[in-house]
Amino acid sequence: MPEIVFYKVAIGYPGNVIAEDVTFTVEKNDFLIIFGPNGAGKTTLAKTILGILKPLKGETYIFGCPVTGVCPHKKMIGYVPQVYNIDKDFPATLYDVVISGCYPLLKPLQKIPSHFKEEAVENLKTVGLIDFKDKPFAHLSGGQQKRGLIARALMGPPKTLLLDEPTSGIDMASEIQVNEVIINTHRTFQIPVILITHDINPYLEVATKFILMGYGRYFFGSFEEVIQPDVLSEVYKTKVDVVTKEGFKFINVRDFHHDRNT
Amino acid sequence: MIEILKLSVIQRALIAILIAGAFLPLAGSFSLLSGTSFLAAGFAHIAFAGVALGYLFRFDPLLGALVVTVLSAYAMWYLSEKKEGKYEQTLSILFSFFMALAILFFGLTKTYTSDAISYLFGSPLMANKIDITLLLVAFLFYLVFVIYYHRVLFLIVFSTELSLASGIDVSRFRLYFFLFTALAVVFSMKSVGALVVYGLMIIPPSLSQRVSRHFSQMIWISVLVGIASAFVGFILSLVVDVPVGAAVVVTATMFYLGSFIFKK
Repeated sequence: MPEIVFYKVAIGYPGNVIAEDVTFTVEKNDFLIIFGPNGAGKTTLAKTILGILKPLKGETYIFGCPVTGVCPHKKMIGYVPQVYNIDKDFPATLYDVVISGCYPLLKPLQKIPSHFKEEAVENLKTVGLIDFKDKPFAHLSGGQQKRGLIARALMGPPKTLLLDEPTSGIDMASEIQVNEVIINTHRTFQIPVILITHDINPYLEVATKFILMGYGRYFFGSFEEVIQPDVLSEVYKTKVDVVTKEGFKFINVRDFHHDRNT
Repeated sequence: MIEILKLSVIQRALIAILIAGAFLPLAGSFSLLSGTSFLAAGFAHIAFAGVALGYLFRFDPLLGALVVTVLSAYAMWYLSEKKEGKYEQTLSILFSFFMALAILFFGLTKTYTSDAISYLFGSPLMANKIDITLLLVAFLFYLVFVIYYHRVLFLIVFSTELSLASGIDVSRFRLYFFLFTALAVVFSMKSVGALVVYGLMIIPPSLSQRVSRHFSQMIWISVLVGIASAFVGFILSLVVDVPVGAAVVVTATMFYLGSFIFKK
Protein backbone atom coordinates (compact mmCIF):
# COMPACT_ATOMS: atom_id res chain seq x y z
CA MET A 1 0.00 0.00 0.00
CA PRO A 2 1.55 3.37 -1.00
CA GLU A 3 2.01 5.94 1.78
CA ILE A 4 0.34 8.72 -0.24
CA VAL A 5 -2.18 8.28 -3.07
CA PHE A 6 -3.62 11.06 -5.22
CA TYR A 7 -6.08 9.86 -7.89
CA LYS A 8 -7.52 12.25 -10.50
CA VAL A 9 -7.39 15.15 -8.06
CA ALA A 10 -8.17 18.75 -8.97
CA ILE A 11 -6.24 21.23 -6.81
CA GLY A 12 -6.77 24.94 -6.28
CA TYR A 13 -9.31 27.21 -4.63
CA PRO A 14 -13.09 27.32 -5.16
CA GLY A 15 -13.58 28.91 -8.57
CA ASN A 16 -9.87 28.69 -9.41
CA VAL A 17 -8.68 25.25 -10.52
CA ILE A 18 -4.87 25.25 -10.69
CA ALA A 19 -4.25 21.67 -11.88
CA GLU A 20 -6.54 18.79 -12.81
CA ASP A 21 -6.11 15.03 -13.01
CA VAL A 22 -3.24 15.09 -10.51
CA THR A 23 -2.43 11.42 -10.02
CA PHE A 24 0.61 10.08 -8.20
CA THR A 25 1.72 7.73 -5.44
CA VAL A 26 4.49 7.96 -2.89
CA GLU A 27 5.88 4.66 -1.67
CA LYS A 28 8.12 3.98 1.31
CA ASN A 29 11.67 5.21 0.55
CA ASP A 30 10.53 7.30 -2.42
CA PHE A 31 12.15 10.68 -3.00
CA LEU A 32 9.61 12.70 -4.97
CA ILE A 33 10.60 16.02 -6.52
CA ILE A 34 7.87 18.48 -7.45
CA PHE A 35 9.11 21.20 -9.77
CA GLY A 36 7.91 23.68 -12.35
CA PRO A 37 7.75 27.41 -13.05
CA ASN A 38 6.59 29.98 -10.48
CA GLY A 39 2.82 29.97 -9.99
CA ALA A 40 2.39 26.50 -11.47
CA GLY A 41 0.68 25.20 -8.30
CA LYS A 42 3.50 23.42 -6.45
CA THR A 43 2.72 24.96 -3.05
CA THR A 44 -1.00 24.45 -3.67
CA LEU A 45 -0.27 20.75 -4.21
CA ALA A 46 1.82 20.68 -0.99
CA LYS A 47 -1.03 22.28 0.97
CA THR A 48 -3.46 19.74 -0.49
CA ILE A 49 -1.19 16.87 0.59
CA LEU A 50 -1.06 18.38 4.09
CA GLY A 51 -4.85 18.73 4.24
CA ILE A 52 -4.64 22.54 4.58
CA LEU A 53 -6.54 22.84 1.27
CA LYS A 54 -9.38 20.54 0.30
CA PRO A 55 -9.08 18.83 -3.06
CA LEU A 56 -11.69 20.23 -5.47
CA LYS A 57 -12.34 16.71 -6.74
CA GLY A 58 -10.74 13.29 -6.84
CA GLU A 59 -9.49 10.91 -4.16
CA THR A 60 -6.62 11.59 -1.76
CA TYR A 61 -5.22 9.22 0.85
CA ILE A 62 -2.37 9.49 3.33
CA PHE A 63 -1.39 6.19 4.93
CA GLY A 64 -4.73 4.81 3.74
CA CYS A 65 -6.77 7.61 5.32
CA PRO A 66 -8.60 10.39 3.37
CA VAL A 67 -6.52 13.58 3.68
CA THR A 68 -9.44 15.86 4.57
CA GLY A 69 -10.97 13.52 7.14
CA VAL A 70 -10.04 13.28 10.81
CA CYS A 71 -6.83 11.38 10.36
CA PRO A 72 -4.24 10.90 13.10
CA HIS A 73 -1.65 10.20 10.43
CA LYS A 74 -1.89 13.80 9.27
CA LYS A 75 0.35 14.66 12.21
CA MET A 76 2.92 12.25 10.84
CA ILE A 77 3.99 14.45 7.93
CA GLY A 78 7.00 16.55 8.87
CA TYR A 79 6.57 19.84 7.05
CA VAL A 80 9.04 22.62 6.27
CA PRO A 81 7.21 25.67 4.85
CA GLN A 82 8.46 27.77 1.95
CA VAL A 83 8.44 31.25 3.44
CA TYR A 84 9.30 31.85 7.01
CA ASN A 85 9.48 35.39 8.39
CA ILE A 86 9.92 35.66 12.12
CA ASP A 87 9.95 38.71 14.37
CA LYS A 88 13.56 39.29 15.50
CA ASP A 89 12.35 39.32 19.13
CA PHE A 90 10.22 36.15 18.93
CA PRO A 91 10.73 34.47 22.32
CA ALA A 92 11.95 31.00 21.38
CA THR A 93 15.32 29.31 21.24
CA LEU A 94 16.27 26.90 18.47
CA TYR A 95 15.62 24.01 20.90
CA ASP A 96 12.12 25.41 21.69
CA VAL A 97 11.30 25.40 17.96
CA VAL A 98 12.66 21.90 17.38
CA ILE A 99 10.90 20.35 20.39
CA SER A 100 7.62 21.99 19.26
CA GLY A 101 7.61 19.40 16.47
CA CYS A 102 6.32 16.88 19.01
CA TYR A 103 3.54 19.14 20.37
CA PRO A 104 0.86 17.82 17.97
CA LEU A 105 1.60 14.34 19.32
CA LEU A 106 1.04 15.31 22.98
CA LYS A 107 -2.11 15.75 25.05
CA PRO A 108 -2.65 19.35 26.30
CA LEU A 109 -1.10 19.11 29.79
CA GLN A 110 1.10 16.07 29.18
CA LYS A 111 4.71 16.48 30.29
CA ILE A 112 7.14 16.24 27.36
CA PRO A 113 8.49 12.64 27.49
CA SER A 114 12.27 12.38 27.83
CA HIS A 115 12.56 10.44 24.55
CA PHE A 116 11.28 13.49 22.66
CA LYS A 117 13.85 15.70 24.41
CA GLU A 118 16.61 13.27 23.42
CA GLU A 119 15.22 13.14 19.88
CA ALA A 120 15.31 16.95 19.61
CA VAL A 121 18.99 16.94 20.58
CA GLU A 122 19.74 14.12 18.10
CA ASN A 123 17.93 15.98 15.31
CA LEU A 124 19.95 19.10 16.05
CA LYS A 125 23.09 16.99 15.70
CA THR A 126 21.76 15.58 12.40
CA VAL A 127 21.32 19.05 10.91
CA GLY A 128 24.64 20.27 12.37
CA LEU A 129 23.18 22.87 14.72
CA ILE A 130 23.74 21.38 18.17
CA ASP A 131 26.08 24.26 19.10
CA PHE A 132 23.23 26.72 18.45
CA LYS A 133 20.69 24.87 20.62
CA ASP A 134 20.14 27.71 23.10
CA LYS A 135 20.40 30.61 20.64
CA PRO A 136 17.25 32.64 19.92
CA PHE A 137 15.74 31.12 16.76
CA ALA A 138 15.11 34.56 15.26
CA HIS A 139 18.83 35.42 15.52
CA LEU A 140 19.93 32.50 13.32
CA SER A 141 20.75 32.96 9.61
CA GLY A 142 18.19 31.99 6.96
CA GLY A 143 20.02 28.72 6.23
CA GLN A 144 20.29 27.85 9.92
CA GLN A 145 16.58 28.56 10.41
CA LYS A 146 15.75 26.24 7.49
CA ARG A 147 17.95 23.48 8.98
CA GLY A 148 16.28 24.12 12.35
CA LEU A 149 12.86 23.70 10.76
CA ILE A 150 14.04 20.44 9.16
CA ALA A 151 15.15 19.23 12.63
CA ARG A 152 11.68 20.24 13.88
CA ALA A 153 9.96 18.41 11.03
CA LEU A 154 11.89 15.24 11.92
CA MET A 155 10.34 15.07 15.42
CA GLY A 156 8.17 12.06 16.00
CA PRO A 157 9.80 10.85 13.76
CA PRO A 158 7.41 11.56 10.86
CA LYS A 159 6.35 8.96 8.31
CA THR A 160 6.96 11.42 5.48
CA LEU A 161 8.93 14.62 5.12
CA LEU A 162 7.53 17.43 2.95
CA LEU A 163 9.77 20.40 2.18
CA ASP A 164 8.60 23.43 0.21
CA GLU A 165 11.56 25.18 -1.45
CA PRO A 166 13.86 24.75 1.56
CA THR A 167 16.77 26.50 -0.17
CA SER A 168 14.90 29.60 -1.30
CA GLY A 169 16.31 32.87 -0.02
CA ILE A 170 19.54 31.47 1.41
CA ASP A 171 23.15 31.83 0.25
CA MET A 172 25.07 29.25 -1.77
CA ALA A 173 27.05 27.78 1.15
CA SER A 174 23.88 27.37 3.23
CA GLU A 175 22.12 25.85 0.21
CA ILE A 176 24.77 23.14 -0.05
CA GLN A 177 24.42 22.38 3.69
CA VAL A 178 20.61 22.21 3.47
CA ASN A 179 20.80 19.92 0.40
CA GLU A 180 23.17 17.58 2.27
CA VAL A 181 20.89 17.54 5.32
CA ILE A 182 17.86 16.60 3.18
CA ILE A 183 19.66 13.78 1.36
CA ASN A 184 21.27 12.46 4.58
CA THR A 185 17.91 12.60 6.36
CA HIS A 186 16.27 10.56 3.61
CA ARG A 187 19.01 7.94 3.85
CA THR A 188 19.28 7.88 7.66
CA PHE A 189 15.59 7.92 8.53
CA GLN A 190 14.54 5.86 5.48
CA ILE A 191 11.34 7.83 5.07
CA PRO A 192 9.80 9.17 1.88
CA VAL A 193 10.70 12.75 1.06
CA ILE A 194 8.52 15.10 -1.00
CA LEU A 195 10.59 18.06 -2.09
CA ILE A 196 9.41 21.15 -3.92
CA THR A 197 12.35 22.87 -5.55
CA HIS A 198 13.43 24.95 -8.53
CA ASP A 199 16.89 23.37 -8.61
CA ILE A 200 16.49 19.62 -9.04
CA ASN A 201 20.14 18.91 -9.95
CA PRO A 202 21.47 18.36 -6.38
CA TYR A 203 18.83 15.63 -5.86
CA LEU A 204 18.94 13.72 -9.15
CA GLU A 205 21.15 11.08 -7.53
CA VAL A 206 18.53 10.17 -4.92
CA ALA A 207 15.22 11.18 -6.57
CA THR A 208 12.98 8.27 -7.54
CA LYS A 209 9.93 10.14 -8.84
CA PHE A 210 9.20 13.52 -10.38
CA ILE A 211 6.16 15.74 -10.76
CA LEU A 212 6.47 18.55 -13.30
CA MET A 213 3.75 21.18 -13.09
CA GLY A 214 3.32 23.89 -15.66
CA TYR A 215 0.21 26.02 -16.07
CA GLY A 216 -2.35 23.30 -16.61
CA ARG A 217 0.26 20.74 -17.74
CA TYR A 218 1.05 17.91 -15.32
CA PHE A 219 3.61 15.12 -15.67
CA PHE A 220 4.39 12.38 -13.17
CA GLY A 221 6.85 9.52 -13.41
CA SER A 222 10.47 8.44 -13.28
CA PHE A 223 13.45 10.47 -14.49
CA GLU A 224 13.20 9.02 -17.99
CA GLU A 225 9.44 9.67 -18.16
CA VAL A 226 9.46 13.29 -16.96
CA ILE A 227 12.91 14.76 -17.55
CA GLN A 228 12.57 15.17 -21.32
CA PRO A 229 14.26 18.21 -22.91
CA ASP A 230 11.31 18.93 -25.22
CA VAL A 231 8.77 18.72 -22.36
CA LEU A 232 10.91 20.89 -20.07
CA SER A 233 11.57 23.42 -22.83
CA GLU A 234 7.83 23.65 -23.51
CA VAL A 235 6.87 24.09 -19.86
CA TYR A 236 9.65 26.57 -19.02
CA LYS A 237 9.37 28.34 -22.40
CA THR A 238 13.15 28.32 -22.80
CA LYS A 239 15.77 25.89 -24.11
CA VAL A 240 16.40 23.15 -21.55
CA ASP A 241 18.98 20.38 -22.05
CA VAL A 242 19.60 17.19 -20.13
CA VAL A 243 23.37 16.79 -19.93
CA THR A 244 25.42 13.76 -18.89
CA LYS A 245 28.81 14.55 -17.41
CA GLU A 246 31.13 12.08 -15.64
CA GLY A 247 28.27 9.60 -15.40
CA PHE A 248 25.87 12.09 -13.76
CA LYS A 249 22.85 13.60 -15.45
CA PHE A 250 21.79 17.15 -14.81
CA ILE A 251 19.54 19.76 -16.29
CA ASN A 252 21.01 22.72 -18.06
CA VAL A 253 18.79 25.71 -18.69
CA ARG A 254 20.33 27.55 -21.61
CA ASP A 255 19.21 30.89 -22.86
CA PHE A 256 21.09 31.36 -26.13
CA HIS A 257 20.85 35.13 -25.87
CA HIS A 258 22.75 35.14 -22.59
CA ASP A 259 25.07 32.17 -23.02
CA ARG A 260 28.70 33.33 -22.75
CA ASN A 261 29.99 30.27 -24.66
CA THR A 262 28.09 30.99 -27.86
CA MET B 1 -1.30 56.11 53.25
CA ILE B 2 -1.75 52.88 55.27
CA GLU B 3 -4.99 54.27 56.66
CA ILE B 4 -6.32 54.93 53.14
CA LEU B 5 -5.49 51.38 52.07
CA LYS B 6 -7.64 50.07 54.92
CA LEU B 7 -10.77 51.57 53.37
CA SER B 8 -12.87 48.88 51.68
CA VAL B 9 -13.54 51.06 48.62
CA ILE B 10 -9.78 51.50 48.13
CA GLN B 11 -9.16 47.78 48.65
CA ARG B 12 -11.83 46.94 46.03
CA ALA B 13 -10.24 49.42 43.65
CA LEU B 14 -6.79 47.92 44.22
CA ILE B 15 -8.07 44.38 43.61
CA ALA B 16 -9.79 45.51 40.37
CA ILE B 17 -6.70 47.26 39.04
CA LEU B 18 -4.44 44.31 39.96
CA ILE B 19 -6.69 41.81 38.13
CA ALA B 20 -6.82 44.11 35.08
CA GLY B 21 -3.04 44.45 35.39
CA ALA B 22 -2.71 40.67 35.04
CA PHE B 23 -5.52 40.06 32.51
CA LEU B 24 -4.69 42.72 29.92
CA PRO B 25 -1.00 41.76 29.42
CA LEU B 26 -1.99 38.08 29.29
CA ALA B 27 -4.35 38.78 26.37
CA GLY B 28 -1.95 41.37 24.95
CA SER B 29 0.94 38.89 24.72
CA PHE B 30 -0.91 36.90 22.07
CA SER B 31 -2.01 40.10 20.29
CA LEU B 32 1.59 41.21 20.08
CA LEU B 33 3.02 37.87 18.93
CA SER B 34 0.29 37.27 16.35
CA GLY B 35 0.63 40.78 14.89
CA THR B 36 -2.83 41.91 16.00
CA SER B 37 -1.76 44.50 18.55
CA PHE B 38 -4.29 47.06 17.26
CA LEU B 39 -7.06 44.72 18.45
CA ALA B 40 -7.18 46.14 22.00
CA ALA B 41 -7.37 49.75 20.81
CA GLY B 42 -10.14 48.79 18.38
CA PHE B 43 -12.15 46.90 21.00
CA ALA B 44 -11.73 49.70 23.58
CA HIS B 45 -13.34 52.22 21.23
CA ILE B 46 -16.03 49.78 20.14
CA ALA B 47 -16.83 49.09 23.82
CA PHE B 48 -17.24 52.80 24.45
CA ALA B 49 -20.10 52.83 21.93
CA GLY B 50 -21.76 50.13 24.06
CA VAL B 51 -21.35 52.34 27.13
CA ALA B 52 -22.98 55.22 25.25
CA LEU B 53 -25.81 52.93 24.18
CA GLY B 54 -26.39 51.99 27.83
CA TYR B 55 -26.65 55.66 28.84
CA LEU B 56 -29.00 56.42 25.95
CA PHE B 57 -31.45 53.61 26.72
CA ARG B 58 -30.84 53.66 30.49
CA PHE B 59 -29.48 50.17 31.05
CA ASP B 60 -26.16 49.06 32.56
CA PRO B 61 -23.41 50.62 30.39
CA LEU B 62 -21.15 47.62 31.10
CA LEU B 63 -23.79 45.31 29.62
CA GLY B 64 -23.97 47.55 26.55
CA ALA B 65 -20.19 47.46 26.20
CA LEU B 66 -20.19 43.68 26.63
CA VAL B 67 -22.86 42.99 23.98
CA VAL B 68 -21.48 45.43 21.41
CA THR B 69 -17.83 44.34 21.82
CA VAL B 70 -18.49 40.59 21.85
CA LEU B 71 -20.72 40.88 18.77
CA SER B 72 -18.06 42.98 17.04
CA ALA B 73 -15.38 40.42 17.93
CA TYR B 74 -17.52 37.69 16.39
CA ALA B 75 -18.31 39.84 13.32
CA MET B 76 -14.62 40.56 12.83
CA TRP B 77 -13.75 36.88 13.04
CA TYR B 78 -16.59 35.92 10.69
CA LEU B 79 -15.76 38.53 8.07
CA SER B 80 -12.02 37.85 8.11
CA GLU B 81 -12.18 34.05 8.35
CA LYS B 82 -15.33 33.13 6.44
CA LYS B 83 -15.69 35.99 3.97
CA GLU B 84 -12.00 36.49 3.21
CA GLY B 85 -12.08 40.05 4.53
CA LYS B 86 -8.86 41.61 5.70
CA TYR B 87 -8.58 41.63 9.48
CA GLU B 88 -7.06 45.10 9.81
CA GLN B 89 -9.54 46.67 7.40
CA THR B 90 -12.49 45.02 9.14
CA LEU B 91 -11.29 46.18 12.56
CA SER B 92 -10.63 49.70 11.29
CA ILE B 93 -14.13 49.93 9.79
CA LEU B 94 -15.78 48.60 12.99
CA PHE B 95 -13.59 50.93 15.08
CA SER B 96 -14.64 54.04 13.08
CA PHE B 97 -18.29 52.98 12.89
CA PHE B 98 -18.63 52.39 16.63
CA MET B 99 -16.73 55.55 17.56
CA ALA B 100 -19.18 57.46 15.36
CA LEU B 101 -22.06 55.66 17.09
CA ALA B 102 -20.62 56.53 20.53
CA ILE B 103 -20.56 60.24 19.62
CA LEU B 104 -24.05 59.95 18.14
CA PHE B 105 -25.47 58.21 21.24
CA PHE B 106 -23.89 60.69 23.64
CA GLY B 107 -25.23 63.49 21.46
CA LEU B 108 -28.72 62.05 21.75
CA THR B 109 -28.52 61.62 25.54
CA LYS B 110 -27.72 65.38 25.83
CA THR B 111 -25.64 64.62 28.92
CA TYR B 112 -22.09 63.48 29.38
CA THR B 113 -22.00 62.32 32.97
CA SER B 114 -18.90 61.88 35.10
CA ASP B 115 -19.84 58.21 35.30
CA ALA B 116 -19.44 57.92 31.51
CA ILE B 117 -16.08 59.64 31.73
CA SER B 118 -14.99 57.02 34.27
CA TYR B 119 -15.20 54.42 31.46
CA LEU B 120 -12.98 56.59 29.30
CA PHE B 121 -10.28 57.48 31.85
CA GLY B 122 -10.83 54.69 34.37
CA SER B 123 -12.09 54.94 37.92
CA PRO B 124 -11.46 51.79 39.97
CA LEU B 125 -13.13 53.48 42.96
CA MET B 126 -16.44 53.06 41.09
CA ALA B 127 -15.89 49.35 40.53
CA ASN B 128 -18.47 47.40 42.54
CA LYS B 129 -18.38 43.76 43.65
CA ILE B 130 -20.16 42.58 40.49
CA ASP B 131 -17.64 44.38 38.26
CA ILE B 132 -14.75 42.78 40.15
CA THR B 133 -16.34 39.33 40.11
CA LEU B 134 -16.92 39.49 36.34
CA LEU B 135 -13.35 40.66 35.78
CA LEU B 136 -11.96 37.89 38.00
CA VAL B 137 -14.06 35.12 36.41
CA ALA B 138 -13.13 36.18 32.85
CA PHE B 139 -9.46 36.37 33.87
CA LEU B 140 -9.49 32.92 35.47
CA PHE B 141 -11.19 31.41 32.40
CA TYR B 142 -8.53 32.89 30.15
CA LEU B 143 -5.75 31.81 32.50
CA VAL B 144 -6.97 28.20 32.44
CA PHE B 145 -7.37 28.41 28.65
CA VAL B 146 -3.77 29.66 28.23
CA ILE B 147 -2.32 27.03 30.57
CA TYR B 148 -4.32 24.20 28.97
CA TYR B 149 -3.55 25.17 25.38
CA HIS B 150 -0.13 26.80 25.80
CA ARG B 151 1.53 24.48 23.27
CA VAL B 152 -1.18 25.03 20.66
CA LEU B 153 -0.96 28.79 21.25
CA PHE B 154 2.81 28.66 20.79
CA LEU B 155 2.43 26.89 17.44
CA ILE B 156 -0.23 29.36 16.26
CA VAL B 157 1.85 32.45 17.05
CA PHE B 158 5.02 30.78 15.73
CA SER B 159 3.56 29.81 12.34
CA THR B 160 -0.03 29.60 11.16
CA GLU B 161 1.02 27.35 8.28
CA LEU B 162 2.82 24.86 10.54
CA SER B 163 -0.19 24.87 12.88
CA LEU B 164 -2.58 24.11 10.03
CA ALA B 165 -0.24 21.36 8.79
CA SER B 166 -0.34 19.87 12.32
CA GLY B 167 -4.14 19.66 12.14
CA ILE B 168 -4.81 22.58 14.54
CA ASP B 169 -8.10 24.41 13.96
CA VAL B 170 -6.43 27.83 13.84
CA SER B 171 -9.67 29.61 12.92
CA ARG B 172 -11.44 28.33 16.06
CA PHE B 173 -8.57 29.44 18.30
CA ARG B 174 -8.61 32.85 16.62
CA LEU B 175 -12.29 33.21 17.56
CA TYR B 176 -11.54 32.28 21.19
CA PHE B 177 -8.70 34.78 21.20
CA PHE B 178 -10.88 37.61 19.81
CA LEU B 179 -13.64 36.87 22.34
CA PHE B 180 -11.28 36.72 25.33
CA THR B 181 -9.60 39.95 24.23
CA ALA B 182 -13.04 41.58 23.99
CA LEU B 183 -13.85 40.39 27.54
CA ALA B 184 -10.49 41.62 28.87
CA VAL B 185 -11.12 45.07 27.38
CA VAL B 186 -14.76 45.39 28.51
CA PHE B 187 -14.29 44.21 32.09
CA SER B 188 -11.09 46.27 32.58
CA MET B 189 -12.59 49.49 31.19
CA LYS B 190 -14.08 50.71 34.43
CA SER B 191 -10.89 50.31 36.46
CA VAL B 192 -8.27 51.25 33.86
CA GLY B 193 -10.27 53.29 31.32
CA ALA B 194 -10.94 52.70 27.63
CA LEU B 195 -8.20 55.09 26.53
CA VAL B 196 -5.42 53.29 28.40
CA VAL B 197 -6.54 49.65 28.17
CA TYR B 198 -4.42 49.44 25.02
CA GLY B 199 -1.30 50.57 26.88
CA LEU B 200 -1.59 47.93 29.57
CA MET B 201 -2.26 45.31 26.92
CA ILE B 202 0.80 46.11 24.83
CA ILE B 203 3.51 47.74 27.01
CA PRO B 204 4.13 44.88 29.52
CA PRO B 205 4.26 42.20 26.74
CA SER B 206 6.60 44.45 24.71
CA LEU B 207 8.93 44.72 27.70
CA SER B 208 8.66 41.01 28.35
CA GLN B 209 9.37 40.11 24.71
CA ARG B 210 12.58 42.15 24.88
CA VAL B 211 13.95 40.26 27.88
CA SER B 212 12.48 36.74 27.45
CA ARG B 213 14.16 33.80 25.75
CA HIS B 214 11.13 31.51 25.87
CA PHE B 215 7.43 31.83 25.02
CA SER B 216 6.10 30.84 28.47
CA GLN B 217 8.67 33.11 30.12
CA MET B 218 7.35 36.02 28.05
CA ILE B 219 3.75 35.35 29.09
CA TRP B 220 4.46 35.23 32.82
CA ILE B 221 6.91 38.15 32.88
CA SER B 222 4.35 40.30 31.04
CA VAL B 223 1.70 39.38 33.64
CA LEU B 224 4.10 40.23 36.50
CA VAL B 225 5.05 43.54 34.88
CA GLY B 226 1.34 44.30 34.38
CA ILE B 227 0.60 43.62 38.05
CA ALA B 228 3.62 45.67 39.18
CA SER B 229 2.62 48.57 36.90
CA ALA B 230 -0.94 48.42 38.21
CA PHE B 231 0.20 48.42 41.84
CA VAL B 232 2.79 51.20 41.50
CA GLY B 233 0.45 53.26 39.29
CA PHE B 234 -2.41 52.87 41.78
CA ILE B 235 -0.26 54.01 44.72
CA LEU B 236 1.05 56.93 42.64
CA SER B 237 -2.49 57.96 41.75
CA LEU B 238 -3.37 58.06 45.44
CA VAL B 239 -0.24 60.01 46.38
CA VAL B 240 -0.35 62.65 43.64
CA ASP B 241 -4.10 62.51 42.97
CA VAL B 242 -4.09 61.76 39.22
CA PRO B 243 -6.32 59.38 37.19
CA VAL B 244 -5.27 55.83 37.97
CA GLY B 245 -5.32 54.52 34.37
CA ALA B 246 -2.90 57.21 33.26
CA ALA B 247 -0.62 56.57 36.27
CA VAL B 248 -0.58 52.82 35.50
CA VAL B 249 0.33 53.31 31.84
CA VAL B 250 3.01 55.91 32.64
CA THR B 251 4.50 53.46 35.16
CA ALA B 252 4.42 50.60 32.61
CA THR B 253 6.13 52.86 30.07
CA MET B 254 8.87 53.71 32.60
CA PHE B 255 9.40 49.97 33.22
CA TYR B 256 9.59 49.41 29.44
CA LEU B 257 12.21 52.14 28.99
CA GLY B 258 14.11 50.71 31.96
CA SER B 259 14.21 47.30 30.22
CA PHE B 260 16.63 48.71 27.64
CA ILE B 261 19.42 48.37 30.19
CA PHE B 262 18.84 44.59 30.15
CA LYS B 263 19.86 42.28 27.31
CA LYS B 264 18.46 38.86 26.47
